Amino acid sequence: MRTRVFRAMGTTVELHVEADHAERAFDAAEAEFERLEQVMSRFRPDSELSRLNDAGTLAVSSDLAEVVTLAVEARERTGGSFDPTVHDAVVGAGYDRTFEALPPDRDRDPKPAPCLGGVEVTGRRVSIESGFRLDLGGIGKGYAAERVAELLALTGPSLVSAGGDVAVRGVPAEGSWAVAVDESLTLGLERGGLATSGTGGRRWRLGGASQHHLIDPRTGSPARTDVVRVTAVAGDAVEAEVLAKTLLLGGSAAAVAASVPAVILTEDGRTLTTGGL
Amino acid sequence: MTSHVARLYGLMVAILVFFVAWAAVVAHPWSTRAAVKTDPRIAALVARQHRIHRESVRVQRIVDARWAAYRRALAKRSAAAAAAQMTAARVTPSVRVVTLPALTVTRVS
Repeated sequence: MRTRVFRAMGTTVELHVEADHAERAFDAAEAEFERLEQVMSRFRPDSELSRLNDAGTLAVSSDLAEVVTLAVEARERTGGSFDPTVHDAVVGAGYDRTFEALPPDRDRDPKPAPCLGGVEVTGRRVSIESGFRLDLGGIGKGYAAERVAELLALTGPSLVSAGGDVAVRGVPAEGSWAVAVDESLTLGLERGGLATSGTGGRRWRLGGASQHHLIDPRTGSPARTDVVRVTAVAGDAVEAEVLAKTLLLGGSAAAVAASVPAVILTEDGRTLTTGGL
Repeated sequence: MTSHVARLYGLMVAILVFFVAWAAVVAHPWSTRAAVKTDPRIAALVARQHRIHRESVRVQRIVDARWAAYRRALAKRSAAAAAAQMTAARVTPSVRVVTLPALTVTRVS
């Protein structure tokens, strides 16, 4: 098994390929992550997403058009629990620069912002309703993981992990890809994608109150939920990312009732497994 | 003297009559339009032209109809192919709890 670990999209990326040589494939994969970050980063002023957010309407690359389409479809599918127009709410909560550059505590009040703004994709032309901007952070990582997994699959069975988003292609000799959810639970993934969303990983303080990056589009503020972390499994990493966020926002009761393959950690310390796990 | 003048006039009238007659002969007053129309080769060509034109209109209509039917069928097949592709892309996940040593750890994104 060949492995490469590097930083991209504000997170740690791991590439695993079952092959004797994978250096060239890893180089291509790393370049692809860099390319997609330049398309979808909200922290780079010259990224394609930043230019779209500034302009409101823009003819964009096929990648950006596809990710925005996936995000809008996910919003429709989840009844608005997943929303790509949370940018201003995330910034209002204080996440206005890369997490590494974010001061742990600042003395200003959070500013909730409206979400669920209009987004229209016509071919490669994307239009955003005035007063809204897009944040493709989570879904962008899932998309990148899937794209890079496609690239690595040419070399051999592969796993790509971009932060919490895991995409796999093929099956290793062990029979499945062993992904640890916590110290006591490991999932063996043969097909599909896996993603973890949680309120514990990226936290900071604003005006004395603890903040996190998972925005509830209904309130425009960091979500209040009895779920601390969800690891969800779905057909691909993009779908898993959407599912994890939706289950987290919906709370533990709704997450259990959804009965999809997921591991749910509640704020009172319980670990719930659903969907046949 | 009188006789010379008369001869001169006579000669001039004769020349005039000659040219008028020559012009009349050149003009073919006896060649009528009906004669041109009735030329069977021209009539056949005209009829053939009309027939070919009618046939080309008919063929164009058939081609248009077939092309429209093809486009409708193509749109149906494309939609079916896209749906099949989406279904294929929507992989049913396969996952279970294992006791294997972990290759990676999923982190909060």
